[in-house]
Amino acid sequence: MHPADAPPRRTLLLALGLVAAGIVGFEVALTRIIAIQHLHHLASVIVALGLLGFAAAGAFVSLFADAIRRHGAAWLTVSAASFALTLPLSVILSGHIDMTLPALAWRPEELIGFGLYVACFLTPFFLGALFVTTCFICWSGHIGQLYAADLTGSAAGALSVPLALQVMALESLLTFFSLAAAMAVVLTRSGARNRAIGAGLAGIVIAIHNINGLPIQPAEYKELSIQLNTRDARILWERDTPDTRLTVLDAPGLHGAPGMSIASTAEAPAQVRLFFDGDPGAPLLDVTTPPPLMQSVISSAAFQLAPPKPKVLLHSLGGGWQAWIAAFHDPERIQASEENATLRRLLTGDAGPARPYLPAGVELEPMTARRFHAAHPGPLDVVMLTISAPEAGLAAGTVRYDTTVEAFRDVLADLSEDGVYAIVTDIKAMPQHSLRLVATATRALRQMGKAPSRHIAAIRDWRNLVLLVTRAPIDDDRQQSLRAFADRWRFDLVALPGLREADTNRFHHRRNGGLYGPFKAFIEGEATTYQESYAFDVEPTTDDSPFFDRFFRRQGLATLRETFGPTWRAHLSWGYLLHWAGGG
Amino acid sequence: MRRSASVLLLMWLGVQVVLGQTSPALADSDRQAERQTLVQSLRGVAPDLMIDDPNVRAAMLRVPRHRFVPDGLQDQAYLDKPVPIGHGQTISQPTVVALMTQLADVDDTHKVLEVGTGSGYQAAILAQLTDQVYTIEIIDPLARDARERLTNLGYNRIQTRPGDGYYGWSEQAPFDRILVTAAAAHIPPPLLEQLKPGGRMIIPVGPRWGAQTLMLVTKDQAGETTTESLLPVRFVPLTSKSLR
Repeated sequence: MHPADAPPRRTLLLALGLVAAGIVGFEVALTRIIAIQHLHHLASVIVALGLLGFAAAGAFVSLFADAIRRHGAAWLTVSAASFALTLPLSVILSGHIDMTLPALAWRPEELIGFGLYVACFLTPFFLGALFVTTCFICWSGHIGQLYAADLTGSAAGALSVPLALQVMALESLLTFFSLAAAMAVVLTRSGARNRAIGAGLAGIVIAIHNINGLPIQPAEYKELSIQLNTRDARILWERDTPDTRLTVLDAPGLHGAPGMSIASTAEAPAQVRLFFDGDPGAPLLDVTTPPPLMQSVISSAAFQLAPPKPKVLLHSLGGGWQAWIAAFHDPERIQASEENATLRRLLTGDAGPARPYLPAGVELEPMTARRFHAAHPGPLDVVMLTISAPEAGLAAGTVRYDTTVEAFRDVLADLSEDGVYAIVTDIKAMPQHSLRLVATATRALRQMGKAPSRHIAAIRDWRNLVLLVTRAPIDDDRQQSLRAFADRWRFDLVALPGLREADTNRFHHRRNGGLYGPFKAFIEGEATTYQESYAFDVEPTTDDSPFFDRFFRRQGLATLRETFGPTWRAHLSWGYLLHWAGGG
Repeated sequence: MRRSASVLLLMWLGVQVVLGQTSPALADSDRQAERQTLVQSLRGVAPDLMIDDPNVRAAMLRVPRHRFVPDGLQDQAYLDKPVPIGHGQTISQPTVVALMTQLADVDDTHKVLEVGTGSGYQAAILAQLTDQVYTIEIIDPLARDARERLTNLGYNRIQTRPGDGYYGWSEQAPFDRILVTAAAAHIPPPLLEQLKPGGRMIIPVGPRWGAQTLMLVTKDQAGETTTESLLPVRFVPLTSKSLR
């Protein structure tokens, strides 16, 4: 029907561009959809899905090339129309597939759900790719023009996602991609029939959107869904951003007080909870002044080593929990680096439930931790970084530049003479993050000509550890202050100049003497020997290799088996499989 | 025709007899044999964390776990695995239930609070050891179903309540033992307050779907609290030669 040497009409090139924009836009948007419904690391399957869709379409077109050439316009109409419809339908369907992804480790039948989940996204890719490949075989003599339209549309689709998510919800963006495909139907062939099909599709897609029929919600097992099952739970506010969906939930069962002492008798303060892609984040405190219980929170240890009226800088602000702790200690100034503009607006009360969730006077800087130190040289009295410790392996491919040796040096250089750098993290049964942090700190200190044993302290409870690194040696007064804090609130010291093993592991018993031994090995320069026999790779990360969450070492498997016997597998994570599958 | 019908009837009866002899699961509606096999296979997670309390083993033998598992997952009721029960929750792995019960060290004089009723299975196990079991569930449908299930199964002495377990059950406090089945970022002060001096609290800590660690919280006679992190409890193999 379309001779290969006849040039494609401009409207067809425009249609090709729209479909290409829809395909690639959908592909990028899927990273958000999968992250919200299940797990963002699963997004690594998306590229494979897109490629499989194109491969299947290519094979199909090769098999039926003659028929497709004879009825090219019809094939284009059908494929574009089907793409416009299956795009929202696949998302709707995906939300109804019963899959408990984290249970995959012990319930192989979850693979069926996983297969169905992946398969339902394959259809729109196949149909969109069918449109593209049909164009290519019908106008094979004008490949250059087709490529230009295809690539331009693809680039526009890819770019549109991060830009559009600044101002609209993910569901609305998907509706636009469907409408683009509906428009392609109209442009593919002039005539009343295609106009009618296009208008009908647009009507259906808009109707789906208007009746909220395209909800992208976390799976039942995710924490937001679980909390929503509790009585009177309600979502106060929700916004999509290019890298996460922020949700503020009010529910009666929210009692977050991370790091609160077991000796504290105060209840958790009034709060709502911030969720990132349906996963729990920090509590957002519904208070106007710092609650007194902040004195009993483990992060307050940093202020035992800091001078009075400290200048405080907070990295990874989260929901502002650490800001309230800082505010309790009568600071001269609190600055915080936070890249996410929507989160900044939420915390300051410019968006969301319209009340600030930060103490008055906190200055928010829209930049990364590293950039902050480059742009604002000190002196600072307290710098605090909070690091979550995801399941081992899940973040193995993620880069972090705020925990490298170079980053430590940057922060330490910005500290005042009495300043302290505090890093808060979780402790695992087999420590990983905490050991890598102390390994990194000791290397940075040695590179700066300082003796780690005089500059490092650490304190923990049953779940959290705070590593404290000072610019000046920790003198007797500061040692006493930290010891008194630990005793009063029943925290265990892990490292401090002059600390004896008998003074550790007192209130929160851990097997094998707690963390005193490994920390001592790193601080006293025996790290190499220790590392060789340890189950995980806890070598410091650097700017050249900033994979802070990558701990797996093959040689460690034997150590794990030896240490934990039958439960050794609990210390590994299938998350590494995703990383390796992605070529990491 | 009549002869054919008689032959078919005899064949059907024969099949029923054979099935009755070879498939205990079909014959044993209470699934006692499966329960026996499961309980016999429970070992522990470490040489010093063995499931060796005969009272706990007897309790697990008496409670029909399959009655706490959703209909569609009945085949998994007697596997040593957690099973989803809806609303994003699970009925814990039998090893975890046994370990938590054993670590709680419950006797018949103890008043026990369970935070997080879930299906009601843990409460039913505890009820084998003491008559004073109180359990709270924050998710209303789960609380309703658990209450109905426990009543139907005859566990009439278990006190159930929908509510926020963070605040415990002050009207019934103090408790000798508290079992918390949901991970927490901190140990709720109201629960610590409702724990008797000399009391024990068991909490699994860690991500809901990841490796969790059992934690034992003890309160001495002076009211001072300490914690002890035990070993990971998820993904424990069904049996282990090293522990036999």
